[in-house]
Amino acid sequence: MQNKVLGRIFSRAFSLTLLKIAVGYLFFLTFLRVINTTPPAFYMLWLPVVIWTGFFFLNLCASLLKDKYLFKGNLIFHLALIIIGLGVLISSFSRFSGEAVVVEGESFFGEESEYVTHSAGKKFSSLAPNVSFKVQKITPTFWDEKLYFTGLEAEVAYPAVTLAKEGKLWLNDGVKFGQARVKLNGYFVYPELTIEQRGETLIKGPLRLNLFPPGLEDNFNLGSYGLSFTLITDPFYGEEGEVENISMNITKPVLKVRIEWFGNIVYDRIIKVDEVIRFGDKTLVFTGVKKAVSVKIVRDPGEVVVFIGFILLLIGLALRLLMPSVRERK
Amino acid sequence: MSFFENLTYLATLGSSVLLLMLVFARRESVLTYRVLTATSLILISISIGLRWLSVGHPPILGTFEEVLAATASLLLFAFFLDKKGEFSRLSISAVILLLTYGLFFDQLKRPLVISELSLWVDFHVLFAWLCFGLYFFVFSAAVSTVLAKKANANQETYPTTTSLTKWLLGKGLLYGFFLQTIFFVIGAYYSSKLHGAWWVWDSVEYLFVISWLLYSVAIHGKLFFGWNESRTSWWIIGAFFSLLILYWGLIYFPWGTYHIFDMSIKVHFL
Repeated sequence: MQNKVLGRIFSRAFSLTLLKIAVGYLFFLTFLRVINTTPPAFYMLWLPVVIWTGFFFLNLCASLLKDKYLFKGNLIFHLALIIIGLGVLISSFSRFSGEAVVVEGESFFGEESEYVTHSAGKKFSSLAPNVSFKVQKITPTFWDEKLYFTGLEAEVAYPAVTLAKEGKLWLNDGVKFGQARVKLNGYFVYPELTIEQRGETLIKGPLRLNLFPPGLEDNFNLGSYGLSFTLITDPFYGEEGEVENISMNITKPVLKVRIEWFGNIVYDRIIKVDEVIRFGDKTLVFTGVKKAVSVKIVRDPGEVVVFIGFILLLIGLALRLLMPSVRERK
Repeated sequence: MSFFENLTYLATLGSSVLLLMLVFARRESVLTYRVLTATSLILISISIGLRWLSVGHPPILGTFEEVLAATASLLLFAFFLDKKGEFSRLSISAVILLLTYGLFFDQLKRPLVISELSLWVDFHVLFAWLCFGLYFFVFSAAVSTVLAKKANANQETYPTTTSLTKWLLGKGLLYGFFLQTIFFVIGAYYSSKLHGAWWVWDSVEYLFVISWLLYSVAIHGKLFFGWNESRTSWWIIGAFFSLLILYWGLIYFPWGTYHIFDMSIKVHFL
């Protein structure tokens, strides 16, 4: 019985069954997405994948050991799948991926607190790469003045302490720090504010509010005050005094401020740069806007193994197609 | 679109309609088929070229440009592979359907959005459409095999399948799979540059895997398990329909994907 089961698992016919099961399972997942639902528990999603992967690699290894591969290409193609699996395994233990937001003119030193998110969990100190840089200049380019990026570039100097080297970051490329890569991931515009209370500075500098694209509203609480902001970076003043944003460019930015105190609106108007608002014992000054970029920092030792697997996959297929007469074993 | 782009687009549609009418009226000869497919291919190439020159990038952005690329791919294989027009009923019908479908979509010329500004994307798309074109003719061969079997259900042997059909169901299938793997590998490499990971669980990725596995079942069945042409053909038909629904249908599914490049609205004419 045992031998029969093992024989079945290691058989060629089972490889086809596994492929059909994978197709069926993926169709099932697609159907779930179409009806906008997910399995009730996460393990219901990944457990079948793990079980399938286990059987797949068992079957594949058995096939590589016992089957007669008439074509070198087939052998290389299936070996490549094992290498890709190995790469994925290495990645799952050693990959680091993190995101941070850096304002123009400021530096990033790679401390855990500077990351908005990262994948390392408690292993941050062992997995995080040694990355530091200063963002010197951010240049976005928009098409037709719309929220349609045709360019986004950040000039950086690194490492952050010495600023000895210079480089550029884009959305699809960037600077390498050893095994780690740094690239852009997003763009923000922050209002620069100074908020004081009886001469004591509470907030000074760019406030990380989600105000881009212009027109978005974001808020935060300051004691019993609720402050809401909308940034208009390229204002157009209508005949009746209304202000509209006309492009993504930063020309003469204004800030729409609404302040509530215990639910009552105590201030609601648009202010220009260097204008001062007083509410209670506090003062707020809008000093300008700052551009910022979200950067992605990735270190993935398994990735190179996966790509070697991919190349072998293609070599295997190419050999199978172009050199069909080469026989591996007779 | 400029006047000449419109003209060449509609002329491609016109010449394809003319060819299909001749095919269904059984008045086409190999020469007419060759001349008209060549004409359509040249016209659509001019349309693509004019648009490329004016917008500064190949046709890779949005459904309308995908229609241009898919049409060119089908006509390319129709002219260079299906030289006698064995599958002209299907291929020319598909060209007409595609070109008509394209008319429902936004034809606005836009520069490439930053995520697509890379030669890797251009090559990814190039191999994807070459794969689509070849897979279409593999599908056509599969349909003709299944129809031939049905027509001769009571006979012991099938009618002699042409050498092109045999090639498409064997080597052609493998070449299609090769092209599909190439465009995936390029896409995965570019994804690692763009997203920091070669696999990001985007809908288009696992939908690709479904299609890739369906074709791999057909290949395994034929190569290793001695499936007959009819059984292989049914899998190929299924795989191609899944490719159509999962890729062309992507814009109608209620899920997010970074792989939709139509700017205005997700579903355009419902």
